[in-house]
Order: sequence, then structure tokens, then C-alpha cells
Amino acid sequence: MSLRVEKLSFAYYAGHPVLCELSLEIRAGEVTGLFGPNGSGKSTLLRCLNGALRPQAGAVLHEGQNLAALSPREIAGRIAVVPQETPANTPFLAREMVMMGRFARWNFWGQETPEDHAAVQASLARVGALDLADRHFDELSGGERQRVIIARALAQETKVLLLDEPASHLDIAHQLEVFRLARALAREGRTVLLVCHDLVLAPMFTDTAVLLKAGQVFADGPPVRVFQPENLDACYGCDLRLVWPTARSACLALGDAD
Amino acid sequence: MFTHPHKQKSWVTGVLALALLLAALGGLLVGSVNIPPAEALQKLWAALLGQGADDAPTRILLSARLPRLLLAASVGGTLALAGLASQTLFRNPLATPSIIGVSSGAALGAVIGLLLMGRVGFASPLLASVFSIASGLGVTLLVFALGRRGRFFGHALLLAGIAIGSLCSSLTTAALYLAGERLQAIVFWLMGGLWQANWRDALIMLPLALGGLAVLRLLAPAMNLALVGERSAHDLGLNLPRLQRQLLIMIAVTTAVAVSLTGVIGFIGLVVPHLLRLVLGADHRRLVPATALGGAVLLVSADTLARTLAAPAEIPVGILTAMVGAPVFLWLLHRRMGRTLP
Repeated sequence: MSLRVEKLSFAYYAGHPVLCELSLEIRAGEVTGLFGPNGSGKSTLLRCLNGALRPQAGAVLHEGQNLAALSPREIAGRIAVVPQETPANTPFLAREMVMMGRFARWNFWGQETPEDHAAVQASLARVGALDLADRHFDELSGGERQRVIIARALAQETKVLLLDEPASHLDIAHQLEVFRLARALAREGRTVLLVCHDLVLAPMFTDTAVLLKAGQVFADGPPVRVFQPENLDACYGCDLRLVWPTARSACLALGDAD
Repeated sequence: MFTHPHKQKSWVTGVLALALLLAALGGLLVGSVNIPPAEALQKLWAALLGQGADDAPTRILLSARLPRLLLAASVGGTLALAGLASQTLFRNPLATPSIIGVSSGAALGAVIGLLLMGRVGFASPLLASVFSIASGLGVTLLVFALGRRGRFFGHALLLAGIAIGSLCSSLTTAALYLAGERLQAIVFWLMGGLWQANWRDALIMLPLALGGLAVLRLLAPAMNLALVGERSAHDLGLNLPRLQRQLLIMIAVTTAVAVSLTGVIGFIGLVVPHLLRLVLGADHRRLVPATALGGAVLLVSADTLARTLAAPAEIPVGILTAMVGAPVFLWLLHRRMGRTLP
């Protein structure tokens, strides 16, 4: 067991809970997909999972350690995040952005070590962004920027990787690459959590799907079981079906009403 | 918003160090009393070895020019660093310590101190300095208390700082009417100057400048992260609220002390970090030492000009830094607009 969420409750404003006593276990070595309609609490849950938001009740444990007892630096050594949006107005080169993934490992002087440079190089290579290294971050396209940010998370060399809609700015080929990368990272023993809106590609690459509704887990398990028409209808309120022509490939289809 | 980085340019720091050395030599050798350079260097060397003669040139060098030089270098470096820290704190390249009200607060405190001394007939530059530091820090706390109701370092803090800063400035201006024969002393706090420099001031300011440099250099990796946004900073392991508090304290303390000793010297905190960011990029690990050196070079050179251009009279150095700083700043703005606006 890698990440365990215990009866987590979170509200931005008192009286408007976003997460209500949510419990969840996220396994290492798997890609876990976090699905659900807008406002169901996906991104909020993800931000609680690395301690960026402090829950009002409940706890998040990584390998048995309560995150509330760890500093941001200690958490960043365990859990890396690819956020949904990264402000474009940053004055750094792409490789400088990736190097920031090494911050949690730096000494007090911020001295870059050969390991840091190797990690940056390897991370950029892994997302196919080596040629972007010396470009200005804010002159990159949305998709290129997203790959650099994924490289930055990889450079953190953490056991857990949380990705908040990592494919949202990417074309279909790059989306596939990101999902393949997520799966490969999980096969190396890491814990990978994807927050997804997409029901076309993501279900094919997730080992466990978690469907959120109104701040609670509505269903979780293998995608084939979670994405039943009645679950999709209950969560998204639209008549959709996920058809599985083979065990590994899914198709989204309109329901009979259309 | 910020300008772009360029390739690693470690020679820049070397050039700045050399420039500081030259500016320091200039500051020591140039003055209203003409001491031939060879003689001056020889006297200094002798004094350094503890064999200084007790003649007029040695006294001028050791008790006037040297402390003034050290004060100018440390105040210049400190103001530039405080400017850099403000710009990072607010993620705004136009920010300076005056944005949190500390400089105008410190100036007001000094002026009140001076006026009170006039009333009670008791004169001590130390009292004005103490008033000045207390007022600068008090105003910062007030602005912080008013501004933190909104988002932590959002617009509320900026607006509170600007409002309180303007209030302090207008009170200082009002004090001009009450000043009478002390007008000259008040003008000093408004325009800044180093003609009251002495060893006590230099020995207060030099450790503070070096301390500020050390603190900012240690915070430099974190300051880089602060530029990539609140959320990312946390994800990468930075305790951003703690960094913001540390920067705020550093800015308030160094600026209040600097203003209490030399008055408000403008433009260094704005121009120096900006200029060096253009050359070096935004990486604070390089930017912090270079900014300290750049600020020192600028104020030492400006002060040398201030006391020689109209010798034996002195021009307030704040006028010179603004006269040099404003055109440079406009030129930078112009260049930037050409680069980044479509």
C-alpha cells in the first residue's frame, strides 16, 4: 500500500464541503485513474494528497507516515505533482524549470551536483523534450510546456507521482505518450495517480479507476467494472457507455436515447 | 513580466568586483582636499600596517573618506538587495521596499525625532536613528496587519503599503513647514546623503550588509521557486509562507537601518536588480551576489560624484542616483516593451 486516505474531509468555506469523509487506498505499481464530473473533488483530493491543502478532518498517509507531520520539502522528496496549469510568465529556461524538481534534494547553498544534471537530462529525455532544454519556458507551446513540467516532476525522483489532467493540452499522439509513460512508471514500481476528464484514452491505461461523486468515492476497481453505464449515468448524468472490444481497449459510445 | 535569462555569465560577477575595487579607489583618492594618489596609497598602506602618521592626509583618509566609502558600499549593496527581495516577494519587477512603506516610515520617524530634539533642545543623531528604525519597522508591521486580510501577498498588501507610504510622505512634507532652521537636516532624510558618515555608521552598516547578502544568498534557491507560482512552489518542496516572512523581515530591517543612517536614497533598489536580471537571467544564486556588488558600485560612484561635482558643496546623492537611474530605467522599459509586446 502506498497512499492511504482515511476519512478525509475538506471544505474551502465552512458549510460547503468538497470532500466528505473520503477513504481510498492507492497501490504502488499501478496507474490509478481518478474520474468524476466537474466539481466532484478530483483536483481538491489531489492537492490534499501532497499536503498542499490541509484537510479539516482525516489524514493522508504515505507508507504509513501522516503527511501532516512532514514539511513541504520532505513531502516533495516522496510525492511529485504535475499541476493542471503552470503560469507561463516565468523567467526561466526549460532546463532551469526541470532543475527546480531537484530543489528538495539540494543542500543549503543550492549547489547543483552531477546527479542533478543527470536527473534533469534523463527526465527531459524521457518525455522527449531534450531539444527544448535551452528554450525559454514561456516561449514554448502549451503541449511543450506540459512535457517540461512532467519532466520536472520526474526529476524529483519520487515514489509517488500525481498528475492533474496531464493530457489536457496535448494532441492525441502526445496524450498517448503521456499515458504510456504513466504506465511504464507504474510498472517500475511507482505509484501513479492520474486525474482525468477524458474517458477515451485514460480508461485503457488505468489499472484501477476511482469514480468520484460529490466528494465521495462512488465506485472503484478495474475500469471495466467501474465504467458501467449505470455508474456513468449516476455520476455524469448522461447516457454513455464504455464498450470494451478487447480487454485492453475501450470505446466510448452514445447511449440508446441518442 | 520578468526578463529572460541568458547563458551562464560568471564573468559578470568578476567584472562587478573589479568595478567595485576601482570605484573604491576613486572614492578614496578623489575629494575636496587634493591628496596625490601615490601619497594616499602609501599613507593607507602605512596605516594598515599600524604605522600611520598623525598628519592631515592620513586623518582625512582614515576618518573621513574610508568610513564614508564603507558606508556607501554597504548601503548601496543593501538597498539593491532589498529591492531584489521585494521584487521576488511580490513577483513584480517594479516592487521596491517603499512598497511596504518601510522607507517613507523610516524617513518620517527620523524627521519626528529631529523635530522633537529641536523642542527639548537636546541633539543626538542616535535618537533620530532610533526613531527612524522604530518607525520604519512599525509602519511595515502596520501595513502587514492591514494587508494580510486579503490573500497573503496579494493586492491588499500592495494597496495598504502604498496608502500608508503616501501618508508618511505627506506627514514628512508637512514637517517641512514646522522645521524652521532644521529644514536642512530634514531635506537630508528626504534626498539621502552620506556627508554625515562616520566610523560608527560604517560599522553598523557593513555587518548588516554582509548579513543581508548571506541571508539572501541562502534563500536564493527558494527565491527561484517563488517565481514559478504558489502551487508549484509547494509541490517542489518550498514552504512559501515562511520564505515570504523571511524576505519581509530582511527587507524591513535592512531598509529601516539604511534609511536611518543615510536617508532615502532612491532608484538603486529598482535599477540594479533590473539591469543585472537583463544580463544574468533570473537565477537568484547568481543574481544575489551580483546585485550586492552592483548596488555598492553604483552608490560609491554616485557619492564620489556627489561630493566632487559641486565641490566644496555637496549634492544629495539621492538626486544623483535618481538622475542616473531614471534614464537608465526608462531605457530598460523601452527595450523591454520592444521585446515582449506584440
